[in-house]
Amino acid sequence: MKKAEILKFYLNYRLYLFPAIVALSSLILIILVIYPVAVKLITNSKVEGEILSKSKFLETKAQALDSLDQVDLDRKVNFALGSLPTDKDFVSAFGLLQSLTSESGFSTTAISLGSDASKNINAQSYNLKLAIVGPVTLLPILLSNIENSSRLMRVSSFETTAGGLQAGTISLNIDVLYLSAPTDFGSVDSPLPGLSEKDDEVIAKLAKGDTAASTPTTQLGPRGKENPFE
Amino acid sequence: MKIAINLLPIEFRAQQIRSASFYKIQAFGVTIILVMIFLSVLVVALRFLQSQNILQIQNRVSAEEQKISDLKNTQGSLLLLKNRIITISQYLGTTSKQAQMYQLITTLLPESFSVSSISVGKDGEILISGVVPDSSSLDNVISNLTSQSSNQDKISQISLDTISRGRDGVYRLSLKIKPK
Repeated sequence: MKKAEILKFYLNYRLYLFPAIVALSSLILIILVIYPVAVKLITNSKVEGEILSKSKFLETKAQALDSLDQVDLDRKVNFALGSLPTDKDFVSAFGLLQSLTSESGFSTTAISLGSDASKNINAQSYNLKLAIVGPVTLLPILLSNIENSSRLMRVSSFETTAGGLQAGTISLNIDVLYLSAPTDFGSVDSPLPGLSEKDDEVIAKLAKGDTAASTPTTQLGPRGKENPFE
Repeated sequence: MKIAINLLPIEFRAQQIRSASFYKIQAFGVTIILVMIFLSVLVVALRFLQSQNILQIQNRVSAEEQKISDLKNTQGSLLLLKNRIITISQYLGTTSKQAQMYQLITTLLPESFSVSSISVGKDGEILISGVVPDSSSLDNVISNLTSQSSNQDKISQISLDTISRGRDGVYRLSLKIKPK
């Protein structure tokens, strides 16, 4: 009986009831399915893009790392560490200074550890005091040898006194540079630094031990005198 | 010529018109429902495909991450090398201000100037003490050091700290030279 009544009611008002049911169903579908899924689709497409770019980046990085020759890299690292070690390494600095001094024609009278070092922006340093005796005319050669040696050293200050016709006493303050190893060796998704041509040139120079001055030093005519103490 | 005469009663005619309108609305409603169902299925299918795609990319990312982790030593070496080279390249092949100033000054001093001592400070400041035999040599020293063409515009200030003339006629002087 009730069913017949409902049917009768529907038949009488179907012109209004049917569109209402359609609208309601459509609304339910939109609210419960289409809208949330579409929103999620748009959000996820951004996430998908990010993951895709990360994947491409990691792929490129892995290929770049894979293409590097570990043996060659270790060799280059050794050159670089020889020039700029991670610690003070006094012994090698003492030895190198002594050999550079004798190669330049001077005799070392004393080597001592200085108290203060000049502040270098990009590296740490300590000061070595070198007392030598020898021809003052060869001092520019010694200075050049020290500053272009296989280990990074800078002449901080020096004093020369004439001690004879050719021999003088020279006191040199030398800053020996070193740089602590970086604490962060990069994460998996950190960008990989590339080696530029300039970097390769630096490595080649270190490898050859040929660290001749690339910047022009004072080029003057034949003025002045060879030995200012004469 | 065909003449159509509807002999149905007015109630039936109205009923027919209502039914025709309803069928139109019904067709339209069914179409709307079908479109809605199609859209629902479409977005759900796209969402499913997207999830699958994301899962595949994530798997690829994990594989690449593992590959990079295996090459951690290579990455460490490269970073260490780059870290060293950045600093080394700033010093390699360059001459310090102190050495440059010493070279410049020694070439500027005339033959007649007999140097007793030269001291080069941390900032490149030079203290020279020496002896010149006569006043013309003294003039020569000063003019050489002060002339912009000869000192390559690398000297900012020259001060004559002390000067004395001995009984023997020689001048003993000490100079302070500040670089630019």
